Amino acid sequence: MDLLLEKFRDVLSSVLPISILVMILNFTLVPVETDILIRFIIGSVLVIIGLGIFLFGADIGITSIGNLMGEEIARSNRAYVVAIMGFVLGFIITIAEPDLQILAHEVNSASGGSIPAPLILVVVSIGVGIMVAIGLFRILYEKPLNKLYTIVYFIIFILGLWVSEEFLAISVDASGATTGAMTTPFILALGLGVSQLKGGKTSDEDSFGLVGIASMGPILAVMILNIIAGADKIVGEAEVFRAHSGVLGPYLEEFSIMIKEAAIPLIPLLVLFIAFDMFKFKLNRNRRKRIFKGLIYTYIGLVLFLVGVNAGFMEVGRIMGYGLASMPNNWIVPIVGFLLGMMVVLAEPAVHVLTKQIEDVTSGHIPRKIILFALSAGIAFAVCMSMLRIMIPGLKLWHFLLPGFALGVFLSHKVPPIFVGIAFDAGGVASGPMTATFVLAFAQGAANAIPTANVLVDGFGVIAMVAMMPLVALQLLGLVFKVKARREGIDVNDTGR
Amino acid sequence: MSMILEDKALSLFCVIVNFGEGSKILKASKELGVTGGTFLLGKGTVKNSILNILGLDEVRKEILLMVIEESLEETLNDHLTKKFHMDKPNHGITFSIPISCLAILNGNEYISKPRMRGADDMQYEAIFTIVDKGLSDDVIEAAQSAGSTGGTVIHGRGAGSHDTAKLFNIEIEPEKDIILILSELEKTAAIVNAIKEKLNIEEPGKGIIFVVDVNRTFGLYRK
Repeated sequence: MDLLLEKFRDVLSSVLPISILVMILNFTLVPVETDILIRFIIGSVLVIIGLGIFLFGADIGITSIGNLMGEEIARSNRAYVVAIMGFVLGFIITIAEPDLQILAHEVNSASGGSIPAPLILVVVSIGVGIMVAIGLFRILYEKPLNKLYTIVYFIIFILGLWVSEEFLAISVDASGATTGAMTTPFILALGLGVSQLKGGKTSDEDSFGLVGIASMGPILAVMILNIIAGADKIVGEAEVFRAHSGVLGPYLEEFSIMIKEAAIPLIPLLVLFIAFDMFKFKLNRNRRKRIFKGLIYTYIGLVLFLVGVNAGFMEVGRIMGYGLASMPNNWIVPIVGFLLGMMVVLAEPAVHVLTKQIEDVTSGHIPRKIILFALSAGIAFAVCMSMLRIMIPGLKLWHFLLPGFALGVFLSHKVPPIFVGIAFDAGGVASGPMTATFVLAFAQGAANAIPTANVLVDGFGVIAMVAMMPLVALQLLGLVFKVKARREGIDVNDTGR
Repeated sequence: MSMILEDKALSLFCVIVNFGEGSKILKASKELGVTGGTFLLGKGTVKNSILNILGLDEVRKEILLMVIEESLEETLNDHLTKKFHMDKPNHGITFSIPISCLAILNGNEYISKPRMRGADDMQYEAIFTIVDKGLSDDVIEAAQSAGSTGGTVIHGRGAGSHDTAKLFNIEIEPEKDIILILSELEKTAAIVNAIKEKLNIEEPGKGIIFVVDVNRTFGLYRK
């Protein structure tokens, strides 16, 4: 039972900081109604329990399936199998992602209906499919990650010249939307499986980067759609915000939604696993049972987590954002945003999966704590700068994204290759359900209170910042690692590919 | 590692603990005079029927290998047991294996000095080489040139006496490759010397080689 306790402590220490911060804000700057506060506390408990169960499940369920499939793909040793499997897996898990379906609707209404939602869904999924296939090829043919990123981001930059600012935000947001809580651990594990089976000198560093590559697919897809459809201005109104009353009502409502939503991305994984198991893996009974148990945990955990976040956290975020921004000295908003960003990323499910994988691959050489530290700092700046952008009308999203991504690509040629993969993966990992919901709500709340801000336009783009900053933060960490190691005379395996 | 070790009886001290504990153990051991250690990652199981049913019976483990003087064994064992409560269940285990020889920085050629052996079938030795990550190919190459048929590479991380860097007050332990080679007794000396020369093991911080007696082997291919 020690084991369970220990896991529980782990999860507790990643959720409590954000809960405590909100409580402090409640008692000092922005008091919220009792109902909402109670809901937030219930939400925190659900998030803690849900995250714990989810992580257990991800470990023995999704991760195992991803690894097995990755190994199977690598074992096939045929280019067309890799291409087809990569594409099919990428396509299927993306099209089933609930966040993407929400985004598709948003884009549809934002473009005034000129881009139908199903088209967006299919095009983005094709984008991810192609990128996953390319990512797998890269691992098998040992093509350097930084060159691939440089090429694709250059294409994105060129396309970006034709894309309106609103759609720039939407396209980068789309990359955050497709890397959901269920798909990110799967893609991470897939990359790990392929690269570990392939082996070779670069197998450790090649275990990372697939999420980063996959999340470029949606950016390309949405940009191309925008250029073809030619919608320039975002039309439509932001959804009118109404605070729920009562304590249990919102929970029941969210519960009935999430019980469906969390199942959708699980089904294709389950079907694929059963099919693969029958024809390829032929696992022994215990192993198969374990994986099924894992999937059940993932499902239960994710439902509890999402219900907690949506019913408990979202409204508090919105109210806090609004309350702080309408205060006379609203310079406090970026500061609170900074703290919020720092703590919220710790409660992100996929962050735990990524840091564990890093420890496993490097045998503990790159400790979890250091990655969390850098990630926290990165997201803190991301949220802080997003708030500044909302408050200062002259500041545009691309003022941050362009130098950010440029710096990210530049650094990828300077740091040890393993950090390049980790950093680009972390971009997709950090923009998960917790950040997407809570930070987005906070930003929208603040935008609501500031007359010069537009809720719809400024709401988009927060996730983009969260997806961009880890590239810089973790690669800077890699740089420090390299310099430090060189001074101490340790070889960091810097092959400088 | 110093040359004093050469003439003393040595042992390989192994500690298996839950993931994350290893560095603490190594730190405590260093205080008692251990010069360094290497970590491997593994999985352990828990015997607990509730956890079994839930499917949560797998734990990440760390295996810490340290080469120490045999005389230090008692003290180290006592100290670790007391400090980390090893006598309680689920707090880790320790064991030690005698080392028949350690190749280190003293410029001398390694000479196999077989101990008294009871029977004829004890004709193998296990050579462990621990070097920086990425050098395993060189080790295997050197070993093969001296007549070895192959080796097994294990990834780990390790910390010697001088090479620990700190980042934000968290210790960074460099990655290592551990190469396990089973060799016939007559070939051990040649293999060890070949590896030693190729990788300059004699220079500080380049790695270590130690040899452990093997009782029986199965499945080895003989020409």
